[in-house]
Amino acid sequence: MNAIEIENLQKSFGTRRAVDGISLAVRQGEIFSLLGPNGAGKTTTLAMLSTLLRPDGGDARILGHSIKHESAAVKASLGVVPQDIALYMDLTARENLDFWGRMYGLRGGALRQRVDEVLEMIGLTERQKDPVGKYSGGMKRRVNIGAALLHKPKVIYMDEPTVGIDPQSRRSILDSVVALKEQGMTVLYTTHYMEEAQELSDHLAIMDSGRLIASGTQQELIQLVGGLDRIRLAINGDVERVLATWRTITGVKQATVEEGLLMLLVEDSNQALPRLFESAAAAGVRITSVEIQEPNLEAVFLHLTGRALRDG
Amino acid sequence: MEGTAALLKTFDIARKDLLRSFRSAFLLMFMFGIPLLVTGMFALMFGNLQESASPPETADAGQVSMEAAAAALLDVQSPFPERQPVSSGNMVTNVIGPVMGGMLIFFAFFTAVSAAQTILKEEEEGTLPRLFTTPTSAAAILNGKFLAVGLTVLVQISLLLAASALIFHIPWGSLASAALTALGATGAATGFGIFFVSLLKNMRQAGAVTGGLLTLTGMLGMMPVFASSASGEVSPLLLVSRCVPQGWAVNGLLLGLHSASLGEVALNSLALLIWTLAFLWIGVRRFRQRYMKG
Ligand SMILES: Nc1ncnc2c1ncn2[C@@H]1O[C@H](COP(=O)(O)OP(=O)(O)OP(=O)(O)O)[C@@H](O)[C@H]1O
Ligand SMILES: [Mg+2]
Repeated sequence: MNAIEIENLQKSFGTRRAVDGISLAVRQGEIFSLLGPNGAGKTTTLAMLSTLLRPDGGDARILGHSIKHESAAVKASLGVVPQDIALYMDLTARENLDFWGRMYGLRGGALRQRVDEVLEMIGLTERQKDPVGKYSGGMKRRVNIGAALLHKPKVIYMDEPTVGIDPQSRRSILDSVVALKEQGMTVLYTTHYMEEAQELSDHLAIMDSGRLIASGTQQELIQLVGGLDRIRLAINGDVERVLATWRTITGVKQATVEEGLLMLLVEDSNQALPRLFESAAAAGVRITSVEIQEPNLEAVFLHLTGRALRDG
Repeated sequence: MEGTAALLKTFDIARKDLLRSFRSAFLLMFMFGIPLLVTGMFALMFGNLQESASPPETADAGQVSMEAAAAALLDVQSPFPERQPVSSGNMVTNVIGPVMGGMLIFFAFFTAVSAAQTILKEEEEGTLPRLFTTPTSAAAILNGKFLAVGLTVLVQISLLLAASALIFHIPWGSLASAALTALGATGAATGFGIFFVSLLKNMRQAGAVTGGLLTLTGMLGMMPVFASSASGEVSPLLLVSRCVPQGWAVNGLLLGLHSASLGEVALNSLALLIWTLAFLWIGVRRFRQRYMKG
């Protein structure tokens, strides 16, 4: 069953089409990443999905509830982690969590217990009585996430939750996203870091200028660029002769010379490399350096847009 | 069920706002420190802190304006020779009391506006949008913010009245009349804050106009403090002060100070109530239009 179903969602600001008719489905219990550069329309999409912005066109259903017509039911099943930290800086972590828990309808002993659990989960039990304004960026990010988890939502949106923090905090956040999935939550995760999308997602969609330009599993997307590994080698010996032999090796799809280096496209570098070494040894040639590049989402984005993900 | 849950959340939002206000040293200084300090300075200047410690026995004695008091103090020929010299009793009711009353109202309106501005601040800091993603109705959220403004001002006015009665022995009148004026002034300040902030787009705009507007209206409202007329004739300054809600609030306190009848005080509070309702009618509607479109 699908936890989120988006159909032709649209939103413009003036003449700028921030979200230009996107459709996708997120299965229950999976991590779905929306990968895209700055200004792609990720936050605008999430704002519509959390009923903050009314779509100009299209609709979406969260656990069967329409964002247009059943906003109360949608909000009750959601946890939203905003991109910009939205907390009361003069209140402590505990006071913040207590307050947000109340806004999700928790009270009394149940609330206290959940606040304890969430503080534990985000690793801030010790510092719970310090004002959030005195925390490091990573700690604030963790409270920002914790505030969306108190009511154990079935669906959670996380809008670039790791932006601008140290590697350690990022690690702990990524681990907690996986932990949420293991608890049965559906996570819709936006990011412009390819590595995060690659690591976390069951399915993902690539968004650019308000449109989805591709979606599927990582494997499916990588098929778009051919799914071939790229190997770059340097040898001491006759390049042309070696090239002729290597073209005949099974699994090698293409072999060319670029700036004195051998460039090979192979189906699977694990299987091809031993054969290449064998053949080189037989021909009395030494391989002096090897570089393997597996196809990644960066390559997919480049392939589809002609631009690199990072420079947006 | 739904209704109770919404009401509880409204109280939670108000409680959170109060916690934030009363934890801020800056706000506390502003709300309580400055009005008391300014009044304290006046009390010291007039050198009567000690003597005025005895309860004023002649609250009804000839009412002396600040000018006259200052003139007497400086030993200058008084421009109002018919007036009595300042005694410790009427020093409290004619100088220290009115100054305290004026300061109290002046700063209560500041508090109301700054509390109402947290709506704009929360919008810009993202906590208000975040609130709108929770299963809390926009009405419950706004009501919580409005309630917080009212409660903050009520606490400020009540504490300042009590503190100044204790420290400066200012006789604010009977408990009933002080309470009526405190409530009326709280309402008017709250309404004014919500109304005024509802006209603003964002905090940048707020920063540009708030100080000036509050100072201007606050000063107009304080006119009666400097112009309480002995002869009973209505000074034009008094009329001007009635154009702003602060004037009516100050008037309520002065009435109590001069032991006016409960009826007079009640009538003045009724006027404050009208200000309150008019401001709220516009302000609340504007906020609802802004945040409850969907
Ligand atoms: N409130 C708004 N008013 C006008 N334009 C807006 C508004 N919000 C977003 N936009 C525009 O819509 C487009 C999409 O913005 P959005 O914030 O959704 O992108 P994003 O993918 O979240 O980017 P980022 O990775 O930088 O957060 C941008 O061109 C942005 O300038
Ligand atoms: Mg964004």
